[in-house]
Amino acid sequence: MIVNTRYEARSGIVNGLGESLLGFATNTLREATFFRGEVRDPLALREGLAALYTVVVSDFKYRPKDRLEYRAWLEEQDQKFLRGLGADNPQTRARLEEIETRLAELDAEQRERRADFYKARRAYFDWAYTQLWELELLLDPVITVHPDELFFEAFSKDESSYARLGVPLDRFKDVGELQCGTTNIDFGAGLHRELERMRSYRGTRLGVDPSGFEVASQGREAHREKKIDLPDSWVRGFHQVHSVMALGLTRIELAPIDLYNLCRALRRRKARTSPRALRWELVPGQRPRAVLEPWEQVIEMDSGSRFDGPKPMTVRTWGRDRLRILERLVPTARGVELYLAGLGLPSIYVVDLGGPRFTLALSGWTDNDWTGGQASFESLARPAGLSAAELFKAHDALRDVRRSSEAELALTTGLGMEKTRSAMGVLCRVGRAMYDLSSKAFRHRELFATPWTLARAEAALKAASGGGSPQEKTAEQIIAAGNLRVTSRRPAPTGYKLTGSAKGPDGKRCRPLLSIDKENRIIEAKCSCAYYKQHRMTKGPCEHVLALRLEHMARLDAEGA
Amino acid sequence: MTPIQLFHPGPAPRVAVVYTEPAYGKPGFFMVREGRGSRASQLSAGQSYGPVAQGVLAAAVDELVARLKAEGYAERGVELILEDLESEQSRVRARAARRLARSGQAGALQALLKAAATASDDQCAILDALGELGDMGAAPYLREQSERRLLSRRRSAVEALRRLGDTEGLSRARELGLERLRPPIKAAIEGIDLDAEPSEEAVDALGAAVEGLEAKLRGLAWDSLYEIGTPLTEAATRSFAPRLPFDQAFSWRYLKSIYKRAMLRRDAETFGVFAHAIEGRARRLYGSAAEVKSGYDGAKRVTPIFQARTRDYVRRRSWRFLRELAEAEPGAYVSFAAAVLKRYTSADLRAPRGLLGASAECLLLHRILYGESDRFDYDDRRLRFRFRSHAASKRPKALELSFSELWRARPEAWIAVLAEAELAEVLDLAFEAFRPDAEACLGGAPLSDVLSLLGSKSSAVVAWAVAELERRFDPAEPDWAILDRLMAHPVQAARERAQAWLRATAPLWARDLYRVLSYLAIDREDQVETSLAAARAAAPVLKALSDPELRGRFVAALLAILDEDEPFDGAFDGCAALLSEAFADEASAAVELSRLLDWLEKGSSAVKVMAGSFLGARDDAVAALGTRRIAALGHHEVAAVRAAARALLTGAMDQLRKDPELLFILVESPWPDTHAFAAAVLRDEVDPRDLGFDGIIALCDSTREEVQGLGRGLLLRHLDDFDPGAVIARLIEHPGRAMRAFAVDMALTIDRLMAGSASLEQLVPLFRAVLLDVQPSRRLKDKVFDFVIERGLRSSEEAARASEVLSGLKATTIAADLERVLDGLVRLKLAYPELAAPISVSDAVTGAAIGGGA
Repeated sequence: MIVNTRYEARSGIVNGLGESLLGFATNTLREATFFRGEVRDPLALREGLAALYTVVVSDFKYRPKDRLEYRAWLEEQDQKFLRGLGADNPQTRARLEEIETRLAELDAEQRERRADFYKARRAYFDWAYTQLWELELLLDPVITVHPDELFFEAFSKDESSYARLGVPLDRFKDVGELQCGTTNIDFGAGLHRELERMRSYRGTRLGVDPSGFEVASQGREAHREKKIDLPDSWVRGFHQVHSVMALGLTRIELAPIDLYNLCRALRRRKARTSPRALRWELVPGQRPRAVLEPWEQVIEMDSGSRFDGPKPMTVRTWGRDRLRILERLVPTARGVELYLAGLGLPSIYVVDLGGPRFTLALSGWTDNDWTGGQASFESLARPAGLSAAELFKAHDALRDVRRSSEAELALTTGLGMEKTRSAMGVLCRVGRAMYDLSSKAFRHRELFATPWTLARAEAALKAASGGGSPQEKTAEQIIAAGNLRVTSRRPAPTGYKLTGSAKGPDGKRCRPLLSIDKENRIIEAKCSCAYYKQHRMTKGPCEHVLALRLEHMARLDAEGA
Repeated sequence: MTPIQLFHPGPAPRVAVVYTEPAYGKPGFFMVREGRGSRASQLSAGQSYGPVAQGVLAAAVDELVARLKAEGYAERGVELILEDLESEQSRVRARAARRLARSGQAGALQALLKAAATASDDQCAILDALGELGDMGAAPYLREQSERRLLSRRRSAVEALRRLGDTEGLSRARELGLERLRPPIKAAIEGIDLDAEPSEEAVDALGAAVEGLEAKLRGLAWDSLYEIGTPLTEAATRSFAPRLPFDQAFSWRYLKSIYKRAMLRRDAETFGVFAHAIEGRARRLYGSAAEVKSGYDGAKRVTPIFQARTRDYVRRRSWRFLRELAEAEPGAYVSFAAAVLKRYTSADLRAPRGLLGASAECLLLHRILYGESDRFDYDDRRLRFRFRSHAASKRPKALELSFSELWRARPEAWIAVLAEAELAEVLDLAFEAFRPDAEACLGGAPLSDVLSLLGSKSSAVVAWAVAELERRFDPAEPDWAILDRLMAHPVQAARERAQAWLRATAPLWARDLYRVLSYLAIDREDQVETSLAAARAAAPVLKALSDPELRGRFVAALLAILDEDEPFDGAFDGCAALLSEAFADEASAAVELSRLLDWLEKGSSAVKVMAGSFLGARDDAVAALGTRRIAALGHHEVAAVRAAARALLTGAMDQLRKDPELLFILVESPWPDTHAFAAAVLRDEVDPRDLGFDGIIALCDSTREEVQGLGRGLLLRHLDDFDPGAVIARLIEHPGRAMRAFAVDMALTIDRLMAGSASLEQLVPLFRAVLLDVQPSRRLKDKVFDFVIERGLRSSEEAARASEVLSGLKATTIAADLERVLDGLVRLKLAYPELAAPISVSDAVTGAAIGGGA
């Protein structure tokens, strides 16, 4: 999809001798959103914004070495050789060699003579590239102003990292008038550089409004427009992040020194061979251990950290180099929370910056972007029968309060917990809401400028029910054909544990195992099918597991739970 | 001696051939041989006479011919051909038609028309023969045939009409051809003027239109366009049609048609392109098979497309055509051969293997360049040439050209080869062949030919062309036509020569306003340099011009040009350069400030440079724009504009001294010149006292290391003037490593002035930043550890702060850090046993714990 943004001014920061004015120019093509206030702790904001920029520009995807130039050179040598063959007159050949030698000398002299020119040209190209890159490729973060918090969200260029910097409004002084809403902000390399000059001894006023901040820019362009071809996977990824966050995740508390140890170890050594996972070994009541593969380097967490889970677990996560995004935050961090979803599944780091909180969500591995076209974390949560009107109502209720827990929202809308939860899931999937892991609540956030109508609600619902993953459709077919048998179903402290036997469309019978929480979200699942063996849960549950959950939910409904 | 063929009208043997051969072992003597058979290539009987001395050889041959004639043999005459024309075999009839046309005998037209009435497969040959005959009497019949739907007949008829020069018939054929075009093709070329000059843009436009069609229609489109036969359609066909897939039925049918048309039309360029393309593709493609509907009988047959037989046939056909041409139209042969030769590139070569040379598979190249050579064995099955021995791979000094007498008769044909050929082998041979006649040929060659040699890949050839141009051009009395042609020439070497002559002749043309304007007005981007050269050549002359009226006219004319929209970037560079260099004062005065700013915002780079230079010279600019706006121009992407801003700011130095805040913005500029200017002013012009503490700290806060260095220098120089606590409080927040190190050093330096736990508390963020840096400096860390421990030992309050810092690192995986942490904590614990620390220390002797601890 093409995302159009138009900025009437440039974002900027003017560092006067006694005061800094930080102005974020907002996209004038979106709803009016503005905010003004003085930052209480500019250093934490500075560090958070620096880390956010690192996410915006980060691209950790593996790319093979570009050998185009080398191949062109080889081709040229071949052609040269063949041309030389054509000239079989020895005198011509000797003359040719003489000329080529002289040419090489002249070329060397020319290069030396033009060194300054090349340097200047290089500088110009760099400048031009940066301008072009910012206009055509840089995906501006979105900023959302809420009555209790102002937060920035961004997705990395490789679509594998999501970052959120939330600053509570109590971290601002003299908050004036504000208009809640979501919009894009102009956030380029120039601004990033200037942000480095924020200091606590200069009062820093933050302004989010269309006028941004005019940095003595008379005679320059009046406005600038960006048209960015946003990959659909990027958009889907943004939605998937919140599906994952809303799941029941394993939480670990880390000290800043733990993050430091991890980052330093990753920076010091680079694994040339597989496996390259960061393995978390968690034993209830003990300090968590991180193990760096393939060297099996063990990093014991600080004595303050304890794993409180019910049973030991080992979780391997990949794409660990992305943790370097957090390097800069280590000295400022007061504490770090780590949320793990499971083997090869996303991991989420929440860094407390003493008020502002920086959330970094990493996909299962770097080359597996948040959707990869297949991953379907939303199917881990329970769907419930929901009408478009109910969805519309839930959206409006959330928009009115901007931030709300499921329980509060269920009370407000009268939809009940199940439907509210489903509605929030759908709204997250279509970019109308997001899950705030720090406050464990849903927030209203419109990712794009398209207005929310009943027709769109219907379309969203249709996409959520009918347009789900192929596994979801197959699961329904399995149930409809009566090809599922629940072998055991017993309550557990966390929810339910189920085993079953399911026959898929291929006629093969599989044995799914499912652990589900009290909110009917999948905690753990296994299956004997090929899909599970190949992907585990990295692309969402298989059809047999989903069918088992559907059956369980049907029984719950029948039991009136 | 050429063999003599005689024919007998009666029973076989029908053909008798008389020829001579050198006698074996007797130099200077020859054998006269007589062969008889049903055809010249199938002689089945014969006799030999001799040996005879060379002096009496002709008499011996004549005697033998006379004897054969007495037996009833006769030389081929029109009667025999006419007889063949009535043969039952269409092949014989077709051959007879060709021969009849070439003989040009009276009565040939009627005979051919009569044969055409009953022709079947030989119809095309008869139509071709009618065209070759050149008798307008055939026009009505050809016009009738040109309206047929069958491609082969229509092609032959239209090309025959073209050879006759029948404009009326051709015009009708074109009309019908355009009407017959399929709707998508018609739509694609609609709006394109097919009679336009074949400029590069026009060719590309037509090419793009056809390329936009469905792939299957492109072949038909190009054949139809080539049939129309305007220079543009021919040029576009040459450029684009060879890109079609040769091994697909939908395009090969039409590619073949264009190739045949090129031969019939005597279009050497198109023949060269297609003959070379066919040869190149034949080496790479394997062909295909497709069910093709015959245009002849409408039947669908599975037909091989560009398979081996077809490929070999067409390759041989190319050379046969050239050979026939050499005999029938000797003047045309060299043009066709040159058109083929210049198409070869190094891509046609293969790595040599054994006796196979690099160009072994280049059939036409070999035939043309080495036709008279005895160094090769020809493998007719694989159509390639092999050296007879390794010694034979060495090229002799003498040329081995086929039909060398034809090349000697028209040496100017080499010019095209020398100008365009890419292959060293071809260039070398062409150079050798042309060298004896080069001076004479080039001396009388048209200017376009000489100019074309400037694009040659051979520097020696370019040198010939340059020498010839030098000879023709007299700077004292310039030939303006040559100069104009050179300036607009697509080859850079030509334009460079023109630029040199522009400089040499500047006094002769620079005062001529219209000529200057004509040199500055350009319509192609590659002419920007020439336009600039003209401006720079004219500038010194015009700068010295004293006639105010003429100067005014120049300024007005040049400014008027700048008022228009620039057609492409650089089009106004010449005008802007001339105004800047020759008329700066007048132009600057004539232009309003707002117009200058408008140019700065919207003009091309050169116009911005000019506007910048004018602005820098305007005394009223500072007052009108103000220092803030001028400072903003210091960030402009054009260096000249920044230079102007600097010049203006230098003039407003007093204001800058009063309000140095602008300098803090300029010093952060990413442009080195602006940054250097601001840094120099801050360092040399502004009194540090005027900057004040906040100003110096602002410099230290910079993101640029050199500005930080400036700030650090000023801070150290005036340290006694400031509160050390305030200095440290500010420096510790810097995120840069260099400034962090400076802050640590500064903390150590003024430690004595900052006693107490509160001051230590203030430094904690700095310590954390240093100790938790993932790219740490060991030296810096040690300094921090020493400092923290040393301060912690001073008082219990400071020990508590130091313990907090060290405790935060107790889980570090860096051994050196852990050692320092434990050492520090132990020392603090020993000094202050009641200190809360994550360690416990016990007495080594008693084992009793000292103080508390974890």
